[in-house]
Amino acid sequence: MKENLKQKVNFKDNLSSDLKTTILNLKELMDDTNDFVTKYAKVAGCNICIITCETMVNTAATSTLIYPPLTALDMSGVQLQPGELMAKINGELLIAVEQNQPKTYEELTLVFMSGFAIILVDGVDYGVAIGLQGFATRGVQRPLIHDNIRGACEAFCEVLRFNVALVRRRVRSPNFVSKITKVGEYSRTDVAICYFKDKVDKDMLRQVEERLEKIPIKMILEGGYIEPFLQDSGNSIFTQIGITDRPDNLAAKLYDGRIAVMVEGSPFAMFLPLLFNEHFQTTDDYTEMSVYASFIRLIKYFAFFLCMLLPGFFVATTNFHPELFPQHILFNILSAEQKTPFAVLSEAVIVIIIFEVMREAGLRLPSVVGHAFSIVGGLVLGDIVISVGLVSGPIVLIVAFSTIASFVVPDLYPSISVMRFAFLLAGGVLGLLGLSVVAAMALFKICSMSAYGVPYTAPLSPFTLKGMRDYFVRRGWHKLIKDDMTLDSMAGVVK
Amino acid sequence: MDNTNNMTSMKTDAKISHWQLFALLSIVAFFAVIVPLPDLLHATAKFGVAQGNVFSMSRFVTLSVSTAIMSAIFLPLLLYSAKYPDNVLAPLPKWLKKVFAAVLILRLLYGAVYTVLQINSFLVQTILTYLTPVFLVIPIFAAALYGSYKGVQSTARIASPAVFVCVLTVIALSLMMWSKMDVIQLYSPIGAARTEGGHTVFGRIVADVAGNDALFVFIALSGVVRTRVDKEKDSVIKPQSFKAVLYSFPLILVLALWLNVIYNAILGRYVSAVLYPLYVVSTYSSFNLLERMDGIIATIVIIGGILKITLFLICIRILLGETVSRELESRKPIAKIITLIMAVIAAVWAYALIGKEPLTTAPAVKYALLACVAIAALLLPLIAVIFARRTKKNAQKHCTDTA
Repeated sequence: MKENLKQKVNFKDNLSSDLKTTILNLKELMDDTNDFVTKYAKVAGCNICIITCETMVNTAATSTLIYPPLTALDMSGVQLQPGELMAKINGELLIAVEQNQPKTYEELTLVFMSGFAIILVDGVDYGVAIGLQGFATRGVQRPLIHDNIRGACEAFCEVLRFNVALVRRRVRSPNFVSKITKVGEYSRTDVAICYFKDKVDKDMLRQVEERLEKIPIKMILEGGYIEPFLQDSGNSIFTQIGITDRPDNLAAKLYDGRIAVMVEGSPFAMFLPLLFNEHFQTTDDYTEMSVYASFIRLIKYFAFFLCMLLPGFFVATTNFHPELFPQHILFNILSAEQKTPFAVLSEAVIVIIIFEVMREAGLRLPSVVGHAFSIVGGLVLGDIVISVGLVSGPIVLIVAFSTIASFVVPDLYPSISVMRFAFLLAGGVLGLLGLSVVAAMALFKICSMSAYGVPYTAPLSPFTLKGMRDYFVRRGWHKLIKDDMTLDSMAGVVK
Repeated sequence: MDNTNNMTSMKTDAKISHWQLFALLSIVAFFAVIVPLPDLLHATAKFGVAQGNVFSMSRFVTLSVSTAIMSAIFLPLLLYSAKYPDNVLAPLPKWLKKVFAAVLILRLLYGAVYTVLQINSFLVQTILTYLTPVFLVIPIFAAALYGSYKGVQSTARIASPAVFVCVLTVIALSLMMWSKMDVIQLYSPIGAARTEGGHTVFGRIVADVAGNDALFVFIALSGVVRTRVDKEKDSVIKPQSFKAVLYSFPLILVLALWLNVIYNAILGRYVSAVLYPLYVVSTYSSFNLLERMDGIIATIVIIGGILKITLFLICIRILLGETVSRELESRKPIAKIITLIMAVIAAVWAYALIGKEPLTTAPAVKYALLACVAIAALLLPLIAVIFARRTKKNAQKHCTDTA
């Protein structure tokens, strides 16, 4: 489209002082799009035109904020030159806080598509854009993935500015900074970088800004599109960028010296760098009693190792090291296995695949058929595969428990799914030797990861004693507030 | 040699702290404590139960004496590394550097091969009695190669929690076996050593000293340990690597002695008849769900072995970088290819030796190992100090002439 128009008018061209030419050029540039709405009028002896994008502008606000002052000006009987009128609209009339002056077609179309009302005056080669956005949005609702028991129940929504405001409401400090930049050559998506200027590492901030500038994707519709470009290694199964849908959670992360990146249209905020132990921290940890929070956190670590290793360990032990089981459990397993046609490893693979298929289907299917799905998936499938002797009861139990345990750490689910399968295959083929080899490789991978100079495994390794007060256990608030722990103060951080 | 660190070309994140070096050295030493050398075990089989009593009370004597000897042997290296931040090869002329590096690389390769033999011997005697060698060698070296590609930081970051896990396992084992320990079964270590004979005890001491891998790891890694800048005198760099050895030695000695107490107090005279007493002791312990704790011990042995081999491959790469080209220390393809070649050589060598462990007890091999220790611990620091002083003198003379 751009190329075709180059012969006539270009986005980079300045607006014409002739109102008709400007409108015609705009219509031509936008291929006479249907939502391009114009309203002509005569004010103080000058021809004016108000341009709005249909459904992007709040029509009620337009009729109460723009029309009355312009009508009043016209009714006063004064006759003004076009330049004087524009100066009056721009400088004297109180219409809206958000106001700017587009001078080129590119600037004008950008504010037009962002939901501004633009006033053009015949004889003036620039416009006045007034922020009266009023498009339909989903309101602030409960968090979807990081729900909690106690504390705020507000979650981010799809409007970037609302999201920044949700954080700002919690941090009334001048140190909280949010900067909006446009990313994506085609979508020109607003992306906000938020941080605390007294906590953030300036070099890390510069790196994030540089990486955002260099993102080559033209259409950015969600944070996930830009996530790989902010990470140090793009092909890892463990992410180095955290995701949250909670403004209070994000505020806490920023206080630790992290940087948040929010994308217009996404109800999730990204923060970086992410440390491994943060997968196990939830908002409830800090609102509950420290003893209970510590207990739950230990359970989460236990569940994490269990869900990753349990199927592999069971298969390895059954196949290679049955002596590790107590005798009565071993006999029960043996009697169950005798009724099935497959090897233990094959059974485990079958059950895990069935669970993954059911999970994926459960995510995508319409909620109205959810009950039917639960009955077919949970009762019929689960019961029948055992009763017909396809797989044994212990395997179903192990895999089911491991799957449930994996939801205790929801952020790590993708990594757990892959790792669980790797452990299963290794354990089935080489027993404990295979499990140990895969475990060593996973450890090498996790321990080699660093994001923006911060080791993924910090503060456990490299070890920082102060970091241990909120790692495996959560100390009481009296201890936590003693000395702020930011990313900079961790051992092994490279600046 | 001036006091500036020659490794400044290396990225800062490739440097480790002296605590991390301590963890790495401790893992290497602890592995040797829990998985004894196969040649000792073969000696056990050869001489019969009474003479091959490696873990009897005489172990207290052999451990104490061998630790004392190792401490004395380490002294020149420690004195050097307390003064100079670079590793001991740095001040040498290129040709001499290559000669010493070749010796060290060969010894490290042998260490990697030997570790595989240790793991194989342990697994075959304990949890995987019908293990095909190829299924041991390939996965172990694949994991070690992957680890070496990830760099020294990655291995060091695993080592710190790994030391903690090892200590915790020993404590857990002690608590679980507390009721089964009988101190009456302990007897005089000196008496035991006398009964077994000076020749046997001396042989074990020599084997302990000759088989000490920590020495070679320390030589290779002492140059990648972060130094501390004196805050008062901004330009004075304080080397830290020597501290790792000072912390590691006592820890390993205490763990080894305590484990020997557990073995003897639980197994009594039966300790003479077992090859891997830690494994046997762990089979007596019980978690409620798991019948025995030996699976955990086996896992520690395998992961510890992989860490050790990884570390050796990294050390080889660092030594090659020191002598041939700095490019080899990086993560560039050429460094990866060289490490791959080294891993393949070690794997083939290990595969050829599996099942033929008596070969490693050949006198020529033993003398070669002792010679390596003498070269690395005594000769190398001595020559390094001479060259370092000469370089410093020349630099001072050059400064005076220029002035």
